Amino acid sequence: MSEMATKFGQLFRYGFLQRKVMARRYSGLMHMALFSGFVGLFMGSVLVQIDGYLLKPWGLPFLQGSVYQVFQAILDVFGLIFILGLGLALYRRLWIKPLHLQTGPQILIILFVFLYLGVTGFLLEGLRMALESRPSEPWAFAGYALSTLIRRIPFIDESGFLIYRILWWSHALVAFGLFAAIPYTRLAHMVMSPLNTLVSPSRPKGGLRTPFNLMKLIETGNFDVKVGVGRIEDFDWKQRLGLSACTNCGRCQEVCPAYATGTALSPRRLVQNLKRELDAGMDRRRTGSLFDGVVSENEVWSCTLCGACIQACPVLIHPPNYIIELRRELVSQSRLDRKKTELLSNLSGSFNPFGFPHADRELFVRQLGVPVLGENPKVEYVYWVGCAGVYDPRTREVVKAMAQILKKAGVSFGVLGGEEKCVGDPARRVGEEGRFQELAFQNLEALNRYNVKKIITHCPHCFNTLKNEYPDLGGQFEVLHHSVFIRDLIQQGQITITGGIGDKVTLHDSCYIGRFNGEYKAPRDLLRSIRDIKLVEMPRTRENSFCCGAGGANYWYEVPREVKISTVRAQEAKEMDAGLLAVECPYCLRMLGDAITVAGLGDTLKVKDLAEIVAEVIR
Amino acid sequence: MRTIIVCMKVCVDTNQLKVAPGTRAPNLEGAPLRISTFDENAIEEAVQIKEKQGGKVITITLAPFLPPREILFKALAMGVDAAYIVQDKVCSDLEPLTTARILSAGIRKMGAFDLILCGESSIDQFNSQVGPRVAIELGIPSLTYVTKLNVDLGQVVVERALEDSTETVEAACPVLLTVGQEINHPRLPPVLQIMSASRKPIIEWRLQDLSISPEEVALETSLTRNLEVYAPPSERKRIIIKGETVEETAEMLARKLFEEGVVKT
Amino acid sequence: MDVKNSSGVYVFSERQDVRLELLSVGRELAEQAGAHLGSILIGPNTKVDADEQIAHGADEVLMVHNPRLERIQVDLYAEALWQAIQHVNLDILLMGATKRGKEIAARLAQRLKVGCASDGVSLKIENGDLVVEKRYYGGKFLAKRLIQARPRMVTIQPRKFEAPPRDSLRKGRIEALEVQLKDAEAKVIKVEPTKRSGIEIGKAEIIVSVGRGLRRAEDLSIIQELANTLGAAVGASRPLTQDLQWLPVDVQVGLSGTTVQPKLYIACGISGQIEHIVGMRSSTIVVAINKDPNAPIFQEADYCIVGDLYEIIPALTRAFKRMLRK
Repeated sequence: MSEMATKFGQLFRYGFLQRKVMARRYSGLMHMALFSGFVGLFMGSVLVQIDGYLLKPWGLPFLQGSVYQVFQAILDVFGLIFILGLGLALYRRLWIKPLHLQTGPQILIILFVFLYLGVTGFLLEGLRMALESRPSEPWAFAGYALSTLIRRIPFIDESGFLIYRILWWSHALVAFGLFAAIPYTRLAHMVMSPLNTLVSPSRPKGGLRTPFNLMKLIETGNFDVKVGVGRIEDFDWKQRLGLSACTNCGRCQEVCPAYATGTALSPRRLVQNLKRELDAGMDRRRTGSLFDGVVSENEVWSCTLCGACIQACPVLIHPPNYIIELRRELVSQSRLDRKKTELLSNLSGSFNPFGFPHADRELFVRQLGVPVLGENPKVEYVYWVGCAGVYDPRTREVVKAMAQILKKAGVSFGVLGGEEKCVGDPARRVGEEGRFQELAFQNLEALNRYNVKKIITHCPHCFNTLKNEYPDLGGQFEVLHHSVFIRDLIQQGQITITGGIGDKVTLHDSCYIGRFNGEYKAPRDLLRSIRDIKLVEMPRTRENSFCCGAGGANYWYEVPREVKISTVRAQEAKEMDAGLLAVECPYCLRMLGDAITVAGLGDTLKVKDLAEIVAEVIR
Repeated sequence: MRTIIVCMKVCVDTNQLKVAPGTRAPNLEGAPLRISTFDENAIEEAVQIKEKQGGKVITITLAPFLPPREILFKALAMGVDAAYIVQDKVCSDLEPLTTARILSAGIRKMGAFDLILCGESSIDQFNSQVGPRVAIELGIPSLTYVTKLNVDLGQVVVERALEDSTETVEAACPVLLTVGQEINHPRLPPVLQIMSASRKPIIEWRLQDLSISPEEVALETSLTRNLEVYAPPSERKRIIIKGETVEETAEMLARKLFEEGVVKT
Repeated sequence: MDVKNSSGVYVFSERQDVRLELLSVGRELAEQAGAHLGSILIGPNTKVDADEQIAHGADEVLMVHNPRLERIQVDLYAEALWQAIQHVNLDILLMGATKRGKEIAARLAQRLKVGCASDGVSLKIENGDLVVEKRYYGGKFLAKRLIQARPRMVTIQPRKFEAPPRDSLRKGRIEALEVQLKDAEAKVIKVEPTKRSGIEIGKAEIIVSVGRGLRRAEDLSIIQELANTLGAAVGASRPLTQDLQWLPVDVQVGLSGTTVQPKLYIACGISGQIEHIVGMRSSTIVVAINKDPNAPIFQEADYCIVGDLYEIIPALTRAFKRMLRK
């Protein structure tokens, strides 16, 4: 029941109040004007018909007297708003011409047709007032003003009624024509988009859908499961609705890091191409695979799954959902290049994406001198070290800092050491669900064996998978990102900040902690609790943060591009004139660190993880 | 295209083989196994031909014991139609002479074929012998170090990579070819497909099924046998150079190399 | 040496330089076995070639001729060799382990129904038996292998041994043999010589070698800069040469490439697969730079730097430039 309420709440918030549409000032205002004007006028017309044909014969008309006057005034306001909206839209399309906006004959025709309706609506009102000798209706101010002008026209008394009839019929026919055209034009969004807000999640969702359960398949011995989508008809109804809801507004493209860096991907183009294929009808539909001309492999691999497009989409479309299904299809056809094959091979063979020996996990934690769960099974928290933490020299510094902090705070924690394997995020993001689940089940076996309840991790990808994806497979844990955990330690006084930084610091919000899991406050609280710090926000911050480029398994392979995503983001950080760039993710640490080094900025801008920053200033 | 036979060796993953401290012997117990790398290229090539021209791909493996099922399923999931294993405990550490004889006997038992594909060498021994030896046993031509393969109407045209040149060579089927890693990129089937492949046939043969007696094999093996296998101690210094910064590290190394006298002033 | 009545250690390689190297190890074995040393020349060889064999230690040279042996084709050469050894008292046959050499050896050995030890590293006679040390399990290990079946065959990698000193006064027997050959089993349609870099990597004193750690071909410039600063040759591992073809095959260092012996070998972004190690083991000083602290290359290096080659190599170039200016 409460789910229904949430869903209808979404419809109200995003479909009616147009909250996300309003996120952009000009187009938000424009669309609100169009939308409210249209809805108002439409409802007005309907009420007039109801009143005239249904209620009047029964003697119950309500549109009379002062009610009618208010009614007319309100409708005039809506009409003006509508025309204002159309004006804004036409100006934008014909004069401003933003690069991402595609203006073709269809949209112009529609806008002008609407304009015709809007203008003739007023003309009709004014004409009627001019011709009918009714007591004047100054309430209908627009019509009234128009009528005074019309009365001045010389031929109005002879031809007035004829003109009125012609205008009335053309208005009616055009309006009905427009309605008939709705399913065949972009006007379909008037129905589809609100419907989509009813069924689609309103925020980026960290967990991907689980298409099957490997354990259950092993039990039944039947592995004939269709995974991935290669043909348009294989998308489920919700996904198809999402495609239909797309209005080609281009906001997703505006924020997409893959698009901004010249890769083959534009989320807008992807969704529109799929939509076109869907609309093409059974006979004209391609019988081959979507990869034969609708989407390209590079397009699909270029996505970093950062969720910026989901954040931006006013009608709640999730382009990454389609991309993941397309990737799953490529995997099932074994259309993977060397790097991706190596990634999966490493995950299966060494349980880490680097391909380094698994035995190093145990060796590293022993060297680190932290409690290992095998010998200390009753600790309160498990510190999930992750793969970069063991195998990447730079990230090892983060782990050392974490160990320092946890020890100083007296936290009861342990690590799994050799019993920890990659959470499987890279495998799932590349589309190999089977290998993801192999790893997941192995990790779950260890976690459940130790009866683990709480997990701390410094890696947002591990965080996201453990928290949002493992439950589908049989493991529910309280998972805490270290930004939250350390912030709480500081606030509860378990560690004391004694030092300061003495510099400007800017924070790069990671995609998985920020957009996908909604945590922006903790890292900022954490930084502000350090002395002598000036926290500055990059232009693209919080939910508008610009991905570092490593996500969607992109860290492990290359796609053709003009410039690296990390370079773009590093440049943005540099322009803040800060001495320190704080990150909360080992991928971001690596990507931005490398980009800054390559750009030769390593002396003026340092990149550090939150744990490192805190470890340096506590007693 | 009727049948392509691929000689597939399942051997120790030498990259993960550890040295036993003390004896310095190889720690074979529990060492993971894998399909020899170049044999995967051979399987991939065979499957690609099958996908274009139809036919069947069969693998034949000689081993002292049945290889782990996941390994066999992986080959089957790549597109192999059936996996034959000739298994006997004397079939361990065989000389290529014996391996070739047994494999050839197995291949003869399989019937007609158009192509035999092998890896140019196995990753544990790098002998590069079995392929040509099998060709001699079966009386068919052999072309080694193939980097490009084109087969059409009973003829193969290949490119071979030799040290000083690349040869384009033509031969009539049946023919045996050995390939290296440059010819293709072996696919990695998704786990679901590997598990599905468990339905494909795995056929086990004993040496007796090929009219070979284990005693013969044991005798042949004794004529060429290992007296000792050990990891030679490396006399390398293995000094780690690490400075506070990258520049410092580089400086330290440069100085050391000057001291060693290997860099000229 | 009484060639007629003693058994022989014979050598064969299609390459002149390898032939001479085989003669040196052949001579040692011949002394230990009480045998004579012979060299088999196949194809368009002249008396001058035969004299060279004798000058470098051969007691007997067998020159095998047939018009079909003009260009080397393994099946024909293997057949010619088969016929040739019928004419001699063969005890041990040493062959050069080039790609063609190994194949000829394998074919011949199968016909002789004997084994053949590949890539022998050291050979000696012990109590009349031939004991060969060869690489085992990918080359990480060595096996001491006892070879009893006769004739005993071993293939030896080029440059493993040095050619013996030349003595123009030495005398020996030269015999010519005409063999019968059928058509080749395959037809060679085209032969394209491999693009050579012109650098004799086998003779370089300093080599800067690069492997899969390099992400793009364009990045070779940082390697080249270091090499230029040191006056070094640029080498590479197999994936970069044969596979990605970012560098010509003749600078490939490794089992299937060239074995090198520089004074200094700097391995950048090379993991240290045994295939590669085998090619550079004889370097005097080895430096390894790799991101992975557990890369096998570090076991085979004198100086180890765990780091990103994209950072280290330019820094090294700068450091050397500074030092060399002094």
